[in-house]
Amino acid sequence: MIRLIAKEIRQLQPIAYLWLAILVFGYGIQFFTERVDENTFGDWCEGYCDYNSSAAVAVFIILLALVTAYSLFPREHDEGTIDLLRSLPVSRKSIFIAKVLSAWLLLVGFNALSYSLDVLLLSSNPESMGGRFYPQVWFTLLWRDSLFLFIILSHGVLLSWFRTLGLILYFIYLLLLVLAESYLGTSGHWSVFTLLANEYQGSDLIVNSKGLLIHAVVAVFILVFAYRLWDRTESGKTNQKTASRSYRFVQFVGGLLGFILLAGAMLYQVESGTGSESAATNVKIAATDHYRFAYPPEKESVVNYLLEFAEDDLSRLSELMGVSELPRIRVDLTAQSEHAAGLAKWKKIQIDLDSFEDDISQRRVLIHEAAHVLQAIESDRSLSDNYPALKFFIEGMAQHLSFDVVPETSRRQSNWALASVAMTRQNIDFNHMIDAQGFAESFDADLHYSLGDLWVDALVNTCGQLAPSDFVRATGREGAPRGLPAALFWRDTMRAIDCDLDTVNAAWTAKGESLYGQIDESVFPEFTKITTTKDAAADRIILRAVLSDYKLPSTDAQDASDDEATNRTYKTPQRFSIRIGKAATNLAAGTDAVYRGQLVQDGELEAVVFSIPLSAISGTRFRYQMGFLPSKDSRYYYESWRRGTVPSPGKS
Amino acid sequence: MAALSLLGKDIREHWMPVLFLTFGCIVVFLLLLFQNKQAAYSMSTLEIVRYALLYLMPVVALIVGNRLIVGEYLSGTRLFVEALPLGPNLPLILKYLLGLVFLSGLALVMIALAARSASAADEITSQYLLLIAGKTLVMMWLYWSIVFCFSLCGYLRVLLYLVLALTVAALLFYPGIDADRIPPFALMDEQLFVFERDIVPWFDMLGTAVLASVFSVSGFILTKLGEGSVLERLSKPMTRRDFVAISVLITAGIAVWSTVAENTEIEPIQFSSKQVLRSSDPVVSVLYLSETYRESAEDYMQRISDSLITMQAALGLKSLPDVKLALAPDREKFDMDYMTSPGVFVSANWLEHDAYDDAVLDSVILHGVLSAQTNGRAMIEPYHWVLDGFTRWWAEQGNIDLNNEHAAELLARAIWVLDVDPMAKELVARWQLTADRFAYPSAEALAWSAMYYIEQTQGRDAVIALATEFLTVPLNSTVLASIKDRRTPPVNRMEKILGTDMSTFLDAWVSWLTEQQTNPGILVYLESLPALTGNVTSAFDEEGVHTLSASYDIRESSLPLLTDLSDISGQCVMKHDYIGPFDMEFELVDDYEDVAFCQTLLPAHRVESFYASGDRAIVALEYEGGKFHQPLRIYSERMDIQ
Repeated sequence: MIRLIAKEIRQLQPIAYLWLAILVFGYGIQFFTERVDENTFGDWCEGYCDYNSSAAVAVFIILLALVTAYSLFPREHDEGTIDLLRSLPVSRKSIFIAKVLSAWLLLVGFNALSYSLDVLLLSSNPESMGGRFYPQVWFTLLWRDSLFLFIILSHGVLLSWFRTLGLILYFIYLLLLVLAESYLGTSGHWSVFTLLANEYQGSDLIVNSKGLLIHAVVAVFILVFAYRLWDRTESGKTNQKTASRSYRFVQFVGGLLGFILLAGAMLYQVESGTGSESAATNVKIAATDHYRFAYPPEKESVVNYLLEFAEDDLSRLSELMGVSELPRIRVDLTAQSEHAAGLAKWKKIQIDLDSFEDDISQRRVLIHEAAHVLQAIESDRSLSDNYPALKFFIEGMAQHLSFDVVPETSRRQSNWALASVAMTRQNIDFNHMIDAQGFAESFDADLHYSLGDLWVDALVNTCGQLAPSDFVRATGREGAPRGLPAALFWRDTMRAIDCDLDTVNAAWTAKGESLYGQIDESVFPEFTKITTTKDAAADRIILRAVLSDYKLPSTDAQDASDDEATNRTYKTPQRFSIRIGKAATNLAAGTDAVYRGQLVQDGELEAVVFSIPLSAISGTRFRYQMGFLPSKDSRYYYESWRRGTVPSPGKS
Repeated sequence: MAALSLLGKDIREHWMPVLFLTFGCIVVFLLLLFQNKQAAYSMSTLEIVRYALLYLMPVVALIVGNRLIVGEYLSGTRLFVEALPLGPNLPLILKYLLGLVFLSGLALVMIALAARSASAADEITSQYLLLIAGKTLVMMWLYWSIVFCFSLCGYLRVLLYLVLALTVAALLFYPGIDADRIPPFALMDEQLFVFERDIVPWFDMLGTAVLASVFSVSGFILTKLGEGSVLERLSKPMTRRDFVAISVLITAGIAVWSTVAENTEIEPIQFSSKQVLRSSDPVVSVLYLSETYRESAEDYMQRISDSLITMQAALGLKSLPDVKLALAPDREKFDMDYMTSPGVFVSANWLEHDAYDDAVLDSVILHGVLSAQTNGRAMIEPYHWVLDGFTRWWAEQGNIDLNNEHAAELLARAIWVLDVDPMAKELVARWQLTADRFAYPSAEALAWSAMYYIEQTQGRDAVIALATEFLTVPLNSTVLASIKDRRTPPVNRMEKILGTDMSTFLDAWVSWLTEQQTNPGILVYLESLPALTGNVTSAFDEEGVHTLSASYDIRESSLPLLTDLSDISGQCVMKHDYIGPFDMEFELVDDYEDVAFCQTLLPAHRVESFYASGDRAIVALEYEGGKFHQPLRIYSERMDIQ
């Protein structure tokens, strides 16, 4: 067996060279671009073993294992060399095991080599904290990756029997995962990506043991099945045409039927869903000089209202933005979305007319999205190049302009109140705002609209009405540097429009503080005494939080003791809601799951109970964000994101 | 007729895989369409065409190329076909056309499916469909041309695909290139591909077509080179020599790339407001926001410019990075924002500063200047104490006379740190631990005291020499630079300058500090400090609410610290925050803090926290107020919440 394995490893040499080249390339880049003795374990872990595991890394490992698996059997059969192997005095089972084992050993070998090199490099950091090594994490990752490689290798061995079709099948599997995540919010243990999910108890890495176990067992069965397939397959050079021809015929007919059934089902779905024929009869078209509206007939009155103001509003918008040439914009008013009232891409707008009740709000949404269209054109698409740094500005500017064109005073005031509360209580500053992903991980991502609106207001007050549009144009100016870090990008672009960022930020902060001083704080209580229990029977976890008056962190010992004696003054919000952060291993881009909370009386206290299905949580750790509706016309106010742990049944 | 026979041969040979591939692609595409309907932010089914062009069709082209060309060329069966009396060109041209027609057909089927499931709002007109089809077909031509050309390169093709992938990645991610404007990337633009209906991207389509032609022609030329001998050679497995040559090429490529990337300079930040003071030598700008603050900005400008000029001369620096200082009146006194690339940028509020606070801010700016000067290397632990100590030393006494009050406060702080943790004397080996445990103000005071001791015992030149050795040479970001820098261990370099071995120096410095305890000026500070140590408890109460509580105890000390807590003028503060699973220096800010009277009888702090089991948190107990300008960290702990 050992000789067989050695022979197989020799045969895998070209693949080994390829992996070696990739390894050398990776380390080569590191050697030429980094001072490795300054790398910490945290740096090494970034993007792979930190809390948010990366699907991109998983894809890379999957490719690595699949390519190796594909180099095991197909070529040997195509070139007929398998016949030579089978003529040796060893069983076919031994040949199969030797092949799979050698491929796995090769992959594990490279994995171990890479991990060992990393240990060497990390050990060159002489620092007392930065140079700390975490053997538990390192070793856990090593064995988890090795097991993961085995699992994917087993998939590859089976898929390689189907040759190119196998790759298509795997692609379909990935698409089905995406579909499951889009529909159900999770793909559960079906997804191989969840096997690389990271959770930590303190500094100890906790892997998805259950998932790994299930997939490892399945992998063994897959290998048994693959063995039976490969064992019955004669080489491409043998003359047993009769047997192989009938077998191929069955294979072909089976595959064809499967495809036809699946394709038929999909075609039916597409036809019966939103196909143009059925849709055409239910959609009406109306046009103005610069808009083309497609809308459902039952919304005619809203659309008539929109048509009445559309051109005037657009003209006012172009004036505020200093735009001379207006594009022709297609507006789809037939959309239904749980996620956004409106969307805009280049010269197309999509609006869900059910998002708002008032016609004036729909009109404002239209102008908000039209502002996005003009932003994209005026910046020549450059805004999207720096989207994470600009998201708050893009949304804030559209919000600011839409409120200027279509005044909804009470809505704007309520948005600003919300923004000022978030700014003050959650200590949000400009640096938070220019990191969209970091912002969304810490705060309510929707705050980008209201905080952005406030910021753009400060920009207009400091540098003039056209400053936001000038900024937009400056992002796409000739010779604008690219790839700048967010903070530098902002400073560079603000310099280009001759406006001081610090002055604007100072004005923004002052405005936020001033607004906070004017709001009725009693409509913004806070959640305290948070507890988590598990209702195993209902497969749910129960999060309970007591409502209380918000207390600003005291900077004086005397104040702190006084606060303890303060009586309850808050006004009970009407609705409560909780967001559960979506799993980082999800392939589908989507939004976080949201659940309603119930107000319960607990003696003198008021508490809110959130019941969350366990299926919404991947693993034992989760992220959540609790919120409430401060007043009838307001948006939800969400506190910062927190982390929770699924307790054992009955325990808190 | 011959062409038809050849076509028939290829079709007979590949019809089944082609059928599977076609159906497979259609199923994948339908699934994509289905998913598109559910996707949160999709706006048109035509977006799927772009998605398939980016991710699905390259794979399909690769599969077709492998079946149609690679297999035949590697196994040598093409020789049978070439032996037929048809000439060598016709079979290849037919294969080229067959692949192109199949892929184009597949792409058109996909467009048709997407268009059929589009809504009326998409306004699918024939002109629009023609535009989408035009873009798609040009892209398919490019894909097939690349696959055709590379497939003829035999075993070298894998490497060529790798190089191509790297080139594409480099074009997409290299900051100096805006790939969005270059075909074929421009053609596949996320916004324009589907949503630009009025403008035909002739330039992008033409550019892509030219690229496709180049690859196609290259493929055909390859078959002609040396009367097919090049093709013959490529179809043989690569030798070790080939691998070595390729490795050398890749390494050279990486070196060139990293050099190019290294030389990409970013322009320093500039203030453009009218409320800015500027000096050109050294380049310093101070933004003061309002005329009310102009005077204080002028004072600051003068002081920091003088300090930088004299430091530049003392350290023999050829140039200094640009320094930008922005006034932020909303910030707390010691709350500063700090950035060192390119140049140094500090945002702070100096409006209520006294001379001590000014020295803190000066020190931060100088810290940034020297950090930028060494390309960040001065921050590595063995030298970090030199950076912290020297910058404070220069701010306090580099070009001005040392203020005795400042010296007393800094020395008292350093003495207190060593009293709490004698191991803090290990400046080279434990600087991060000390800075993390005692926080920046105390660590800086400790490092400053070491510099002050060197000045007192060996003169000013020794301090300058130490700084010159560690804080003036820029270090590249490469492994070689690291090795070069550490060829002589930092301790040896320090010993050479100090003229004594490190442990002797450290012991002598600690002894000198101990002697300073009796200095009346220092005693005033020490006697105002409570002799406290702390203890932090993390627990879940019966209801499951997590609480953090902290208590204080009187600590035994050889220093004349206060043990009667009724006499203290400051207050005790508990600060806490989330930390990640891996330790690194963490600066605790006052986002989450609890202020209480310092007392030992009961737990002084008890807060309901937001931590859950499994989290990690850092908790610090500090003494604020009293005679000291900045808080003193009595206790700190990194804890796993259980």
